[in-house]
Amino acid sequence: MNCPLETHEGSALLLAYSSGRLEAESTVRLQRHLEACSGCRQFVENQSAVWRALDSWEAPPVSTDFDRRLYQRIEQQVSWWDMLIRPFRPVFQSRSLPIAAAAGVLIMAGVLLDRPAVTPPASPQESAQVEALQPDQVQHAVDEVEMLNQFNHLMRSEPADPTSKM
Amino acid sequence: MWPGWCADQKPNKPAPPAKARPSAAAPANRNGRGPNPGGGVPKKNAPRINTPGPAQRLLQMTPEERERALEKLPPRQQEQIRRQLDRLDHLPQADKDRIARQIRGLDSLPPQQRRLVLQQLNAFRNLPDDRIQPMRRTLIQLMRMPEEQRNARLDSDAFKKQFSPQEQEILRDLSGNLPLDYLPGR
Repeated sequence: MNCPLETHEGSALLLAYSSGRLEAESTVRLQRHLEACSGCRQFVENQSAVWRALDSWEAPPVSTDFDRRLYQRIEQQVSWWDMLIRPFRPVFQSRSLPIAAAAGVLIMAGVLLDRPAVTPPASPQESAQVEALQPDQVQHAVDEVEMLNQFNHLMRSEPADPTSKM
Repeated sequence: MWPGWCADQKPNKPAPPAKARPSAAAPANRNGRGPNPGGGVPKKNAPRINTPGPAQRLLQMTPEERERALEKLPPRQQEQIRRQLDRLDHLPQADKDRIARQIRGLDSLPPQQRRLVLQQLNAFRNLPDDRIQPMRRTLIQLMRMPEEQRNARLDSDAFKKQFSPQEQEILRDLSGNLPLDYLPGR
């Protein structure tokens, strides 16, 4: 078997093997090659390290006031510079920056090799438009909440229900 | 007072797809695990964000934000709203949670559908006392039926004899658009 790292298609082979998507026959051939080729072995080990790092990462639970804080933040005036660097703040604050950088480079390499044509995501036509509650909307909002409360009460009570309130 | 209404908001809950029946917003993006047991991207449950209507925003406001909105109103109206808010704030937490869920369901509806549902909820609330119980029972029955069975019932002669045209419209619109959250005991 030719060394996969020396051919463009071969890199895709290694990536497929690392993610468990390679067909059985090719897997057997590749495993025999890996026993002899330290370069390919290193590539596979690096990919596996990336998967393990991603597997061990757990998203933090979303706080109950997430929505409220998000809308508040959207409403705030933000300078263009702040908007530009904000996405990168967590990277600079992270202690695992070298690992993250290495993982990012490997993933990028994998994506580029696996999918040479990358179409940029379409920008959303609308962003969530959040406005502060206007005074005239307060009355409508309160009325709506009250109406739902009364509807719920009507749906609960029976004429002979001794626990019915109101 | 009001932020306590939002205690049951769980933005990362998976939501059913939005269609005629009110539901939460579109399903959250998820990345499933790769076929390799040792690999794969961890699942990410992105917070589900719907566009909140006035009622939902009201429930999410801090007392300070609410006061800022109220102080722009005429004093008499301020007083009336404060009385209403005080009454609502003293509801049991379970009732508040239920209302908060119902409001989120309403806000996920298309605007026209939302207006229709609110209009019919209001009409239901204003029914004569002697019509509330038969309407209530029938609405619960209809909401529990599959769509075909419900439509058959709504179109039946027996049903049309039992309810006025306005009542029929209320039952048709609410049973076809209210989420099951609106059923008692949920």
